[in-house]
Amino acid sequence: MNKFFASFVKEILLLIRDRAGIISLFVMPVVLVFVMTLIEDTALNSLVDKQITMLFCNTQNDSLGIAIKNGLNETKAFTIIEEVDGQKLNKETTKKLVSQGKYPVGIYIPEGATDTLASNAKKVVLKTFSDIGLGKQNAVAPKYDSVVIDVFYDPAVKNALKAVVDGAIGQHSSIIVGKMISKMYTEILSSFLPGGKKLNVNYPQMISINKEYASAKDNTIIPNSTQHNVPSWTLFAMFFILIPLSGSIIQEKDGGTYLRLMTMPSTFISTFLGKIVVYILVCLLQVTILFSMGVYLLPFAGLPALQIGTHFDALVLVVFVSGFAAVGFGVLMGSLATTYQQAASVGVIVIIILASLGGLWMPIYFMPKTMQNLTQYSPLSWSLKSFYDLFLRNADVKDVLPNVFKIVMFGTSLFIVGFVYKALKKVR
Amino acid sequence: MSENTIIEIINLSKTYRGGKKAAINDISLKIEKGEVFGLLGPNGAGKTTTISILCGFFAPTHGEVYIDGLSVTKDKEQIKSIIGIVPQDIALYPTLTAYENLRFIGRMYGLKGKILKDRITKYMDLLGLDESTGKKVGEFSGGMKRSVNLIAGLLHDPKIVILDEPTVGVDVQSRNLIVQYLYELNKSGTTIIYTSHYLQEAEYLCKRVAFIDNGNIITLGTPKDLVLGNQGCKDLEEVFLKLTGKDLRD
Repeated sequence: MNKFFASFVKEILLLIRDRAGIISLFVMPVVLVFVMTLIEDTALNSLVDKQITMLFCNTQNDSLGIAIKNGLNETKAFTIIEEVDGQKLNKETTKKLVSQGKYPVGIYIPEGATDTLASNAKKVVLKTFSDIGLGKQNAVAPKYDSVVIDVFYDPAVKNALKAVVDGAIGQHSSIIVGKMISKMYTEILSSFLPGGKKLNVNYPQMISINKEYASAKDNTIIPNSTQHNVPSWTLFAMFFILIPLSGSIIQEKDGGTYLRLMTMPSTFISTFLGKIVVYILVCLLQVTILFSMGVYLLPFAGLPALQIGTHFDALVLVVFVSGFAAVGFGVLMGSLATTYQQAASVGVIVIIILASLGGLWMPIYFMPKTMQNLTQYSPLSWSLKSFYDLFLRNADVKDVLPNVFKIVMFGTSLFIVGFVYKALKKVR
Repeated sequence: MSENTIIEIINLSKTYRGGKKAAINDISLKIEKGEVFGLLGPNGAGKTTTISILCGFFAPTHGEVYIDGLSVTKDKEQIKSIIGIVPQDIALYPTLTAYENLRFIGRMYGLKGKILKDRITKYMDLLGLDESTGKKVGEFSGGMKRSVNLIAGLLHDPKIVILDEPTVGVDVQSRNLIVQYLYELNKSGTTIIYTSHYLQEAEYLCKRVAFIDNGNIITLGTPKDLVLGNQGCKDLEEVFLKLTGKDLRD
């Protein structure tokens, strides 16, 4: 224990005095997480449920306009703006603001839209009764006035958004028209009833949509830039301990301290254990700092807060095994490389490749299908998927165990290869 | 192994994997308790390989070495406690202070508390480093680094100290201090095995020396006997050049 403690204290002191190492382990990841989350916020939010700001001009507070507005509000996909700079919108300003690219969508409800619809509905009903021989007989077919709702789109707006807006307008207009026609039928039919009775027709809701996330757990967290970038770049930073860790191993080899350590009455593993434990603790500290930043600081920059789910035990497990694998990678590179430059350059390139394949740089769903299939072979993707499971699906220990097992196997293999290579090299 | 013998090397050979020839080839020798034994030879002669096997860092290809009756292949861990290594490289952490380096090394040898602290203070005083204990080793002069490197091999009071060119690259004053200290250390009964390219130093310090070249011991004896036994040679350096030649080595 005394030897482990000695090695542990020595490693802590070496790390604390390595300013470049401290910067690469703690300062750079903080900057990286912050910058990448900000950069990817817009890109990722176009794919997820961020509200889109929309201009809405309903000059006469028309009922049709109100119904469409309420319908759009119910989708929770839009933030509706009816005034700009304290001025009520009109058709021209709405179109101009959208054409200037200041807003993606603008809707203009024409004056008297509801009256026109009501008039059309009335004509439809009267025509029906006329056709079956009830009411006034008309020789000519009625003339319907059309209601034109203007929707202005920024050219950059995606088709999916256009479909949502068009669909919402069409749906709520149809509902209004349907209600008008139904009301009118009811009123006219009531006039045929004896004793001034009124017909009361209730239309039950015949179709309902059940929305549910395709995961085992109930979950209200929606993936966003924070949920992707914070765990991704935290993992990246954890694997970057390769630089100080392999540097420390190579420095010991080059400087002769390794030879001294190997001639001391302590086993190879106990000498190394202090180093391994310190660097796993570094990983835990990195995660604590970066996740805390995600939870508490990112919201101050207008970014969503990181939501870490409710299973803290599962989170600690995933962080610990990811740190174990990261340290294993550092040990492997420190053992294989003959110079610090070799370890740093080759190691960093390997991390970048694994990170790209693992979906750290670019979320997996952005990738082509073949690349998406390849991600399952990147150990970094196992960790990232576990974090996704924890943050997005509120997974528990049991749910993350398959990936945790794979990460532990990967980390253990790295340690074994590193130690065996080191031992073989020593024996020569 | 006689009572007075502390190290016995029997038919020791080492060929590195992929190596074309043996780094050391069937060497045998005995070192007595309390002796200062010099292992001298040109670069690549096999000195460091021999020392590395004595320390248990490499396993021999053939042969056996006994240290204080223990086999280097079978009793490696026990041997580590009775030998002190002073490697050719400054095997210290430059960003740690001299005290932190020595405290770490002492703890790895099982020392702790006041005993460890007192030993560090004692050796730092003896080698004139008492005022530099809290300074980072990276900020030390070459001579000071060599002195701390030496202390690191002595902290656990080993029976045998193995020094691989302990005075290389230091100024005359520092070298003198180190050599004097080794002389005193030997007087207290510690066996010293010593390699160096400074043959004057070896002549002064060593009771016996072995010249090793191309993995073979080419001569063995007291410095005086070697000088007398080689006609026309005035000192050990001339004997060395006579026996190993004047060709440059790697």
